[in-house]
Amino acid sequence: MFPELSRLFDAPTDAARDDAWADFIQAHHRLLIHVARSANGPRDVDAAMDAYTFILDRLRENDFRRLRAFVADGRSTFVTWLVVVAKRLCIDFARARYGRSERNAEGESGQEQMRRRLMDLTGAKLDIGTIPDPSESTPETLFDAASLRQALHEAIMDLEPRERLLLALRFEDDLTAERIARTLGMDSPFHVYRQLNRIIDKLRRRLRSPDDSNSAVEIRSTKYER
Amino acid sequence: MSDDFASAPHLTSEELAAYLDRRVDAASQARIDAHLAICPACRAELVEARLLVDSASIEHARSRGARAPHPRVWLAAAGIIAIALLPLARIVVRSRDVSVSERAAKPAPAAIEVLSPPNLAVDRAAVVFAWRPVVGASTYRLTVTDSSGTPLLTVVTKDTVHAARAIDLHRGGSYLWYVDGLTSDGRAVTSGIQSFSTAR
Repeated sequence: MFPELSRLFDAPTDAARDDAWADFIQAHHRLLIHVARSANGPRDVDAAMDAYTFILDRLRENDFRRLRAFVADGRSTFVTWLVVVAKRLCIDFARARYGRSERNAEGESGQEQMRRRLMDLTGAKLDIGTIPDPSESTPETLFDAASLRQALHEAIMDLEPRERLLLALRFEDDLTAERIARTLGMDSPFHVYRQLNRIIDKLRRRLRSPDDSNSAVEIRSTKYER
Repeated sequence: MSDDFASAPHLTSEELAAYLDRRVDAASQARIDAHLAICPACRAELVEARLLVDSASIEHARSRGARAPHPRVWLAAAGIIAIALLPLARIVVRSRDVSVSERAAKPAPAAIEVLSPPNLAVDRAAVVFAWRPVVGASTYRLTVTDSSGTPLLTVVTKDTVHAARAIDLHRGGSYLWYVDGLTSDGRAVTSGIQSFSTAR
């Protein structure tokens, strides 16, 4: 248990609790201000200070409910937890002050973009170019495109969760390998490239597998044999 | 990627923090990876939090590990540096005219440079706020708060020095302050949030 938090939770009097709270602020105010400034931009000092006081109010409310949740979980370091919670509180603060943003509107288009890029990557050896132009919109071309999409979707869902996450970070969010390595704690961007290449090869193999009745090749050859 | 997970709840603060610290067990890791793979909002939060944790850890180490040296240490260090820089000072004096004209041609700085109080324990009866003037700024707004952000003083001044006589500062207290300036062409400049403490 963290001694500074024990002092807060176990303070016998209001005065002792206030003292413990003052010490807590003394120990962490720079970190909390850093988060508040990051969330509000370096130029808007007033907003950052308002966000900072909002964070402190929320950490203290309901008898330190949030801090107690950290102690009960106990897995992460306190600094990491405090940063995550402070950042979320900054979002709450911004929502309360400026209203909810519409950032989730692009979610579906991001997934569409990823599928298209993966179809390009995995399809290079599948000779997807032989499929007639989808803009012609004949029932056959639509069927080909839908079959390939379905096959790719199923191939992705057969991957390990970590592999799906890597694909999403690279092809849906368009992050650099360096950023992905940093985010996931991987050794270097080269490790990211290596893993991505391995995953794409895996998808190609899955899509070309002659034994798999769902494979795009199988679906297409069935169609052309008719 | 799959609609099956579309209704999965977002990560809790504790889960995200443990994931960032790589302190989750294999089963939790797979579950969190699977959620992140289908949740753009949680992925965006993860990426932002990673950057913030890295920079905040440095900030935290700075505030916890680096105790302010005793004033005598500062004086001794300043003396040694001054002697070491004497030859350089001569060169600077010789090129002073050029430097002044170059400085005049430069645009106003993006931030206000603060001079006092230093970021260490100071005498609570003699706290003076001072900052370098900004080219084109006619008025400044000085704000002082306690460590929880409660304002203690807000003053608008044309000066670049302000003595904190009106504030009741406590011994061993920790305080925040910042100064904003408005230039004649409408640009706002700020010192950013500064801190100081008072001697016990």
